[in-house]
Amino acid sequence: MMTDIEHITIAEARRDLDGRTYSAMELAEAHLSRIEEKKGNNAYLEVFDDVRQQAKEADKLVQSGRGGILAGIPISVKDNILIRSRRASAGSKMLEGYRAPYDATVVLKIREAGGIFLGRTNMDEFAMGSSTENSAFGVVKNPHDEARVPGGSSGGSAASIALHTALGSLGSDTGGSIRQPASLCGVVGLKPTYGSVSRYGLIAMGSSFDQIGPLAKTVEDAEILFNVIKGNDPYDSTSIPVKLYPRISEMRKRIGVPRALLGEGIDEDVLKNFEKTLAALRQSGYDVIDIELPYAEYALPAYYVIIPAEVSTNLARFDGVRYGLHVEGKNIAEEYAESRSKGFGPEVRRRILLGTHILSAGYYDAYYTKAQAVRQLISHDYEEAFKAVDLIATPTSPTPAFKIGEKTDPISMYRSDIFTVTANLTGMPALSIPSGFVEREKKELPVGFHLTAPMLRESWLFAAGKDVQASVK
Amino acid sequence: MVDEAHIEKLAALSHISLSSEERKRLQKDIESILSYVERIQSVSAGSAARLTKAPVRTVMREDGEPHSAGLYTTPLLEAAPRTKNNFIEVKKIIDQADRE
Repeated sequence: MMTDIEHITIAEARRDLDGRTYSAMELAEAHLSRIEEKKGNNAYLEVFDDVRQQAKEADKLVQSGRGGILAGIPISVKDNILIRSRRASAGSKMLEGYRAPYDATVVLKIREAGGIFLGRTNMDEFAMGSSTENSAFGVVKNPHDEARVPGGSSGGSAASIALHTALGSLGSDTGGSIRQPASLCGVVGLKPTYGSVSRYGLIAMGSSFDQIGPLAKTVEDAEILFNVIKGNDPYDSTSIPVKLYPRISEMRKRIGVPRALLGEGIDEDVLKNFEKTLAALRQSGYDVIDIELPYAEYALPAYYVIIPAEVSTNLARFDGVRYGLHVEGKNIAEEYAESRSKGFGPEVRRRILLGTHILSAGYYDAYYTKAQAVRQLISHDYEEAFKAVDLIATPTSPTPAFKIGEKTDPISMYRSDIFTVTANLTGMPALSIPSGFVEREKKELPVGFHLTAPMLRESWLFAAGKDVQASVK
Repeated sequence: MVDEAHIEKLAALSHISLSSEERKRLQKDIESILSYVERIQSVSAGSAARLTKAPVRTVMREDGEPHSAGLYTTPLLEAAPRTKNNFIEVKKIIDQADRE
């Protein structure tokens, strides 16, 4: 018997499927009808036509006892991750109608583990944004208040979990794009260590930052998904070779709090929630210690120098010649310009131009080289801090979900990433865990608690994340 | 100082054409973003130079076993807007006037 899908996690579904409480087909059907019911939130750009076929195969595998850990588990995938022969548009008109010629490595791994792909989720165009308002296919409505954004750029993935229209989702995180929407939608989101998950088959935005990671209802589920997708991949030269993995010691339960960063611009209720979570962690035996990260205040400006630079180079590939939108012109230069102008939306154009400025001779040293130096100083700050603590805690987002249309200038939108960009600048893993709610206009809006760990210490994030989860319940 | 002429130059370099309205808006936006990121200038570059440990390095691999020719040609060409005889077709890049 299929129970209420609102209360099913991946871990529970695994048990129920193996125990024949319900079939993969029943689970898939329940999700498909829920997707139909929640269509108005615009979390999915496409629901695949072969979900039942996939479920049928999964049931066969489960019955034979040869099913993988995800056999029959319904998963949604962000629209910038390639699934062979499926469309992948990265939320852009530039790639509308584009079909992926191959599977991303993460997709292959989920497929091999038996996962069912439900569909592709909505996102800010080319993953640039913190609200999904930059999607060429319309904004996603926050499951907790439809007048508000779900966060971004993986807003469709986060909403697909919060709406109970998928048990797990794959997103990508360049400056907070998994963790911030996870926080605003009340789900768990992990940005893994840079190089721990292959990016082969991810449509690139900022290659020195991009990571694919899981979104899920619980920390346990995020851990299950991470364990499936992680690992070295010869097709991604930035993925970490197995021989370079250190032996990970036990976490010593010491959490650092960079007090200096928790001032101006942070919502009061978010701060109260943060303190409450810290108090609960003290109760569970954690030492909570104040720490200094002297250069962390420069993280956001440094990020917004490096990211447009990488965007302007990465997106040069969209020229209307090899794939994507093509607009006829009288010569090749006009075809480039017309295709790119019709294909790219305003935020993408803004970042390309800004990046072109930053990388031009005469400005390169003042901006790009300087930002890279700041990036190294910030990494050094974190390495030093991690000598005294195991994890560093902040809120995930400075505010709960904001209203659709509320942030009109780019800087106020960029500030949504103030606590998340650092993990991308340093490459360190970070996890957002739901830590309760704040009330706005009689609606309960979720808030996230953010933990950063040293390189490759995802296991510490999961351990502490489970304690946060237990304290909130 | 980022003026509208500079925005036009950046647009040309990026192969993007802008309406005059968008040029004005981008001039304002880019100036405000640049003044926001300006604060990194107050960090002394010397402080970073002391950190010698490079976080990333280039990983090379042998170009040993290429896949057989033509293996991916069909799916890749299917994505191209215009093709001809197994090639991607583009407009002429050099015209008669350039050659003379």
